[in-house]
Amino acid sequence: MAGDGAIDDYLTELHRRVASWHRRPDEVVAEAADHLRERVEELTAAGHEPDEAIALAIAGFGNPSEVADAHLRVTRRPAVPTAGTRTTGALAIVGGLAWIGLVVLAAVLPDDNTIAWMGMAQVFHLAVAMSIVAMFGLWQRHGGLGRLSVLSCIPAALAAPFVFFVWPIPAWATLLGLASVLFGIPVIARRVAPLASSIALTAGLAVSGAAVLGAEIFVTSTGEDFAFLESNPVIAAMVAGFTIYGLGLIGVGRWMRSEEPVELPALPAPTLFRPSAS
Amino acid sequence: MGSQALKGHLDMLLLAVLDDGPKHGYAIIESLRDRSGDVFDLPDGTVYPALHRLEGAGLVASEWHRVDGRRRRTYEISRKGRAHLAEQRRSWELFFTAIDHVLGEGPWPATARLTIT
Repeated sequence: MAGDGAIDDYLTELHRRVASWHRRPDEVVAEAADHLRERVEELTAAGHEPDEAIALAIAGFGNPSEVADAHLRVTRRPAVPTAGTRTTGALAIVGGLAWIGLVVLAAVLPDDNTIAWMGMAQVFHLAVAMSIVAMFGLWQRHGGLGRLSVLSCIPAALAAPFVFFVWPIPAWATLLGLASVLFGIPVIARRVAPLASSIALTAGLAVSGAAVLGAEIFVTSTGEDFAFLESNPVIAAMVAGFTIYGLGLIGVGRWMRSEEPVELPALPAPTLFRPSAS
Repeated sequence: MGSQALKGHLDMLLLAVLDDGPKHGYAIIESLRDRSGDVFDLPDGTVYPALHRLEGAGLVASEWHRVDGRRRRTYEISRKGRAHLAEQRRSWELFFTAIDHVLGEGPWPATARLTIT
């Protein structure tokens, strides 16, 4: 016999079925709750017993699997964990470790060892490359991230030649910072990835980029010695930014790794309409 | 009427219902059922994703309100939705008239009639 808890049980089951991939599962459930309770009120007013009205309302809404599938069909790109997002999660962890490794290497490497610094450059290239792969994974895991994330490709693409072929720090640091902010804002807004890691991803490179750009502007406008670019505050901001970003990548990577892939069902043709029995 | 044939027309039907004015999901479904003479008996829960799809396409807009302590989402057809509906209506009338005259062997052109049996 259906009881007052039957609607709550139904809504809990519906939430469970959409929570892992729908961008706004709470809205799906709130809308279903409003519908079911209004339907129960109408059926009760028409003379049905409360338990019977609840059972009829739930049956008329469709079983949770059917309703969740209908929501999945209208989602252009399913925001679900897949084998691909798990793999990119692992690469994000590698990238995060590389960013933090850069900070450590910069602190311990002797200034006059050219070969060691060339090795550090390779770690830097690895960090950037893994970050780009991680962003693709995050984009896939979110089922797309909107226009801002697409716009972030522009500064990221402009930064690429600076990162891999030449070395003017203000150029690539600023461009990567801008790219990470454009990409990170929708990640934060969607509230799919862990919030702290999403914020770290957004703010980390922005901190280092802003520090370097600010220092560059300061040096250019005041005629200050270019050695200021390697002063303690600027270096500290770079170190903090790289560390925060690395921790963000590791956090997001661990989350992506922890999720079991969802096998997308081969959906049957929708049966939205059923001829009336009469 | 086969479900596949009707499936492609759900957007048009929902927009037509909303053309009368803003409604929340339950009212949309009730209106759809009443105006079809209970022929369109669809699982209520499957209408909401269709409304979300229409919103994603910019054909309807939605707002959340609080009614009797419950969160309620109200949908309203947009200007783009009205234009889309007008286009869909023209296509449907052309299609239905052609089918009707093939089946009824009537002359062409003729006024469209919508009958649901």
